[in-house]
Amino acid sequence: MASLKLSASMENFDAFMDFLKSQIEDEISEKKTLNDILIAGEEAIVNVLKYAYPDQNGELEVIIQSLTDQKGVSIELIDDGIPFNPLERLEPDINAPVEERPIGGLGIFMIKKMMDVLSYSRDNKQNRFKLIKYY
Amino acid sequence: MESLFNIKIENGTAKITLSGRLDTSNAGALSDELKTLIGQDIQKVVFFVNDLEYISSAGLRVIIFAKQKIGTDTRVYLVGANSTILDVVKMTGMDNFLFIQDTYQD
Repeated sequence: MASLKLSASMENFDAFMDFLKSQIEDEISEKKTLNDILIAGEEAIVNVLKYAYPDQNGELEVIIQSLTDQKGVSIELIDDGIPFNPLERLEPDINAPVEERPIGGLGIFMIKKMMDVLSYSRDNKQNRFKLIKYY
Repeated sequence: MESLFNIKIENGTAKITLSGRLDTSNAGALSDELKTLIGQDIQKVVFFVNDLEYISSAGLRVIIFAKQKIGTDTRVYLVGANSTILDVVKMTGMDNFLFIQDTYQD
């Protein structure tokens, strides 16, 4: 298990992504799987960095674990920001004409498509969003 | 890995070469470049992506932006995408409005 906890600011975006990549790239040989995890991870991390703390500073902790019961990896994001359940976001209509497409909502949609199990909980004023991918 | 982009405009066609990564950290810079095309009577926007390895939703939004804002009659091409990029494009339904080609033909 490895974790990284830093201030939830866009300045730390690269640090979070480098951490995620360094933890999984030796483990996962299939390029598409690796890419799916990196994209889903990016979307989840950016959501916290941009939206979790609208009025104050706060931190994001990312915890990465190899699963033991089945080959896979879990990425958990923990923040103390405003309550936000990504699983309750409405899916964008990807068949809508391009002129009518909202520019947002794609990130969560991609997370749902690319990962195998998602869970969210709100405990002790913390958001915990966990993403699991099997490979 | 640095991502680089290069924009050339010839006869109403904007040719944009992307390489490396198009993600949250650099999509904004590309979006700013594309904004300069608004009102320039651009009929085609061609993204050459042979050397693009990674695209996240921030990158996809830039391509959607090209279609929505540069002009609704503007044709947007995606040329030379590898299978990873194509998977993401198809997953998000963007193949509905992009002209996807292996090599550029107008």
